[in-house]
Amino acid sequence: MSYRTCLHKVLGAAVSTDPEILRAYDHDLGEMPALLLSLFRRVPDAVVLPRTVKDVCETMRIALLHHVPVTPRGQGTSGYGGSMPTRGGILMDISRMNRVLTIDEQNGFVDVEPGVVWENLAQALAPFGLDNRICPTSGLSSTVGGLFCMGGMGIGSLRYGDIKEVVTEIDVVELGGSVRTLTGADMDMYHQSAGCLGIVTRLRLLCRPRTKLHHVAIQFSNASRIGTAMLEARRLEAYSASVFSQEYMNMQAEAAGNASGGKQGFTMLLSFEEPVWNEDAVQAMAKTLGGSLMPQSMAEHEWEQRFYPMRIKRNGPALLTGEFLIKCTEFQRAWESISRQLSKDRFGLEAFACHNGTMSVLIYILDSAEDLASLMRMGKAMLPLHAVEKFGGVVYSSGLWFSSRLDSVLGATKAQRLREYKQCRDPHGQMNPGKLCGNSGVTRACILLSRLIWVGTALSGPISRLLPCRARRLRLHKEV
Amino acid sequence: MLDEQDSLMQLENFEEDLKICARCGFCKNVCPTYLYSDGFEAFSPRGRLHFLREYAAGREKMSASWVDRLYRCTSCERCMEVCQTSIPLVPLWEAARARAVREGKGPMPAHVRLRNAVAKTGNPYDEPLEKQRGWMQQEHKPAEHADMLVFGGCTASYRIPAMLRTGVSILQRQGIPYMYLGGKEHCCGSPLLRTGQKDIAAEVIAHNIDLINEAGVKQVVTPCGGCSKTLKHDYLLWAKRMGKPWTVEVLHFSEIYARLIKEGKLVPTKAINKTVTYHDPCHVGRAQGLFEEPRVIMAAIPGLKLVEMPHHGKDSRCCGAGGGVKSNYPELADHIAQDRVQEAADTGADVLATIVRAALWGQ
Ligand SMILES: Cc1cc2nc3c(=O)[nH]c(=O)nc-3n(C[C@H](O)[C@H](O)[C@H](O)COP(=O)(O)OP(=O)(O)OC[C@H]3O[C@@H](n4cnc5c(N)ncnc54)[C@H](O)[C@@H]3O)c2cc1C
Ligand code: SF4
Ligand code: SF4
Repeated sequence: MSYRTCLHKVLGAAVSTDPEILRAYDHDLGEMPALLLSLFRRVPDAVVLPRTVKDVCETMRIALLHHVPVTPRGQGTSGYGGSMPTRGGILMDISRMNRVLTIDEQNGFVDVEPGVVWENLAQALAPFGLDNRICPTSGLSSTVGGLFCMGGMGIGSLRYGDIKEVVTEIDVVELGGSVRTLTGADMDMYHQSAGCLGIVTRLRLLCRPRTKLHHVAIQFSNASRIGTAMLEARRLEAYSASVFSQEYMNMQAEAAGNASGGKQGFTMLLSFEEPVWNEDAVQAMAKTLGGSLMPQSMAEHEWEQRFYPMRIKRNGPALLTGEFLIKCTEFQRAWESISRQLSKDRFGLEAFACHNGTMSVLIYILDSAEDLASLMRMGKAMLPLHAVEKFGGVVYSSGLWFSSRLDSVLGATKAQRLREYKQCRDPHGQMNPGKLCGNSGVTRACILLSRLIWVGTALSGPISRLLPCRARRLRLHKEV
Repeated sequence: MLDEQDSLMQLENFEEDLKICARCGFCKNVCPTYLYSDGFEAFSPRGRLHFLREYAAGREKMSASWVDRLYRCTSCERCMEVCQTSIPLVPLWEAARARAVREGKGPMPAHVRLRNAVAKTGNPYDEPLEKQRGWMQQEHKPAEHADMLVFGGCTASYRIPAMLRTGVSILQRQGIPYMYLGGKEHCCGSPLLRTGQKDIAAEVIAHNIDLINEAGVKQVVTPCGGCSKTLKHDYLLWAKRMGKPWTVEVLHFSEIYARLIKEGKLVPTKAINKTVTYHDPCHVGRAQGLFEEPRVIMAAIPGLKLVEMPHHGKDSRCCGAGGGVKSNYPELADHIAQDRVQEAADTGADVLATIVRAALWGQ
């Protein structure tokens, strides 16, 4: 019996092999050049939509028995290619394993299934006086399991750290169907694993008491004090600190059909939990660093818009994005270097601070993607990543497209441990082939491809720098 | 008849919108019909949009199962409300359904029945036009000419006359002159537009636009949320496409009640000593932004205590009935309605109030 028949038999309606349904899984968030995408498979042979741990175990049992690859997928909101089934096989769509299992009000933690969406979790916690410690800005759709496997951070990470510091225990199902409960160093292997080890089926997350947040927006005229301000925000125990370049603010305004402002400067949005809110201290900090406080309505507006960083795509329609981590102290040099690299382009910057003195930075360039040179221009998304390397900047995550950067993303020690762990638990490279590391031919080819992209975009940088991106203004909604 | 290629509401006109989808999935997390689907990505609004992009590029075909997925949508606008890139998703879904109809693959059987009834009698209930004025009572005395026209709408005229009687009695007692063209009104076109049947929709819309223009009124008021949404938004576009003038102000009756209450001209005296929770119908709330008006009315009623459901206002849940879902997929509509009713019950309120017929259907 083929594995697809087995899946149908054992899991019934939780399985589909309908080509139409399968094709809907041929992408994630990232819009890559068709040429690149044509180099590997993107459509799975079967989709499984588990609702219980038992469903996951059965799938993993059948996968091992039939030597079939398994690719996990949360909501596919990551753009690193991690949920693309590069060898076909089984795609496991985790999004319906989305129950909140237990809420421990006394000890302030919650057990959830991996497919729980951050915003839905916040709503479930609210009646218990609790809230998420952190939440990515994709929190209206992305899953808790997805953020853990990507090793992401989000709003609240300045105070509470990245996802690793919020999760204290996980359950995983490995190939063959065995369930393990992991903490500490073993759990750490799954953090940032992009699903290349097994399926995370339960996570225990620490929560914060639900308190009122105070928001304040500060305007800085240049990049020189941004890094210091981010570190100061940490000293003042801010819950969250984000910064937006003026061009990013302009792009947002234009996408909403409003007029844009000047070209220079940055807006910083700080949020504080009620118990540590000290307005005088924040004002003093702003004054010392040469920043000026913006109207309260502006701060509230920016907070309300926190889930909409990609609204600017409206004026693209292509949005080239480069994402990296850098020490706050290096922000100014990184900014200057990127500005030189993208001197012919209009680009926006959005960044938020993490509690370990680093910042996660996104560079956005809008493009019409209309002509043949657009392929060359797409490489521009990589220029900021190359530019910040010499200041200790590292690519945000690994996945498919940056598998060759694994050592710098995870650190050489963790990367090596992960390779060994993977070799031991998945020697044939069945789990999420093509991502991070592993022994299968496809994975080796994908790592090679990732290396070629990295080197190629570095070499072609001087040419692509000369090709300015041009956004095309779209008709606005109300005009339709 | 409209020039098909020239219409703003063609799928081709959404080509740019299809490209700006960020694939963020916000729409997927709020869609009420996705919740009761098979759960695969293809069923989600994001999946449907991806399909339409592929279809527009000639890489996918309008298969029967895709048509079915496209019709399992209540036009509730929740997806549109949260969309990362402000894509006009509901007009897009309607354009996609219209394309399915054009390809001879839609609409669904229940919607064909609507169409046949409208073609025969001008209303989806297949009632004779003579019955249209049947709701009227002795006190209702429309003027020969007035600035305001009451557009009854099929549901209120033939099925829930109380909606119409209340509004018109208030006009009458407030001394606000109104015209009424009962016996000549056709369906506003809403159920036809939502189900992609634009050719017949164009006929009834043209008829009504001419009728209203000939009356020479400045305002049109209707008790029906679907009619007011359609007359406000769709007629504006269609009149433009048809080269007909359309300058009237369209109002839902709740807007008039709220205005009269604010002006102190309408003072409810009969106490309703109950706790009430209010369901914002999609077509009145998100579609027309009428969130305040019903609350103004309830606040004016002595003894009435409003308790809000967790999902209210812009974030209100769908009742499951709209977009032709109740007529063709009653089970799906019932599931969605049950969720909403449960949410209402959980507030502990004595009464679940709402302002639109479709919303009642859902429950
Ligand atoms: C508007 C927007 C804002 C964003 N903001 C942020 C942000 O603030 N911070 C941030 O870090 N990222 C952000 N992202 C990126 C993305 O949303 C996050 O990485 C998110 O955590 C991915 O979750 P997901 O459920 O979509 O996972 P997916 O993208 O589906 O999967 C991510 C990876 O994890 C694996 N995986 C998923 N679930 C499991 C599981 N249960 N077991 C094993 N492996 C699994 C997949 O195979 C894949 O490799 C943003 C994206 C968008 C569109
Ligand atoms: S309009 Fe409502 S039912 Fe239709 S796709 Fe959007 S959210 Fe889903
Ligand atoms: S919310 Fe809008 S941008 Fe996001 S996936 Fe849905 S349609 Fe696309």
